[in-house]
Amino acid sequence: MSQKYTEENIPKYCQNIGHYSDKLQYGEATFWERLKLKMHILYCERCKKYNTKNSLLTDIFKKKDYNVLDIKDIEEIKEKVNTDH
Amino acid sequence: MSDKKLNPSTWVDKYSNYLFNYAITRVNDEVVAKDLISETYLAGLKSKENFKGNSTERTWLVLILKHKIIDHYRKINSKKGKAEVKIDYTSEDQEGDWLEERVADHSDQSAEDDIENTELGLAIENCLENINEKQAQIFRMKTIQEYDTEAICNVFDISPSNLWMIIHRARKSLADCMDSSWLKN
Repeated sequence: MSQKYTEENIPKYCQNIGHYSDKLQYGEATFWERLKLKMHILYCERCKKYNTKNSLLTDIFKKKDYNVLDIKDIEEIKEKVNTDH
Repeated sequence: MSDKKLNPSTWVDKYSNYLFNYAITRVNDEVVAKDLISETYLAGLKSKENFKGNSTERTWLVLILKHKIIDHYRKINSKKGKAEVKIDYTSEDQEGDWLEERVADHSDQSAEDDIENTELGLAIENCLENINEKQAQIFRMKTIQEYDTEAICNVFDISPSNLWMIIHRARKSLADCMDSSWLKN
């Protein structure tokens, strides 16, 4: 009988593969991590699905339609609100 | 999801990036967008008695920001501002004093939900609410602002393995939460 995996009990190896997939998105995966990832997703559907979604996420972040404030900006807003209130 | 109570001490950390994404696409100027956000919080503090809990805290702040954006266009007297003011104000003598008297919260959130589904920045920020604010901030710094792993670890006093754990949590949350229309092959 096949085991049903949830986020809490996924095998340690799959957790590592998830991290390799994340590092790959930032260009920080080593050669061996990339290789292990590629080999693993040949037979693991769960990790393959996560890796595909992860790449799609990276693609949408490249669209530059998402803006973020720097920590400095957040502090400036806090200061302004506290001073003027 | 947000509580339907006001908690002003958390506003700046919790909603600034959401409001910034809302404002920047409408005013196209970072400095103006940041000023409008500060003004929104101040106006929210001033009129917090009007919040009845019919909408979420964030929806209510977006409504205030929306009016601040209209005020901004009125001030610079642009055609866009004039057009929006005509739609938004019910009569001439109500112009300018809408805030303290009229910023009640509405129970209908569908309009905001529709916007979230069409604006990428809002959709991402909405999903990032599922993780805590510190983790969301680390994710933004690493992914969008492209800070070095080491720099982020120094700022937040965490180890690289902690950082990757946080990045994984954020990306997993986004992968699960983002509408499927954003994540098409």
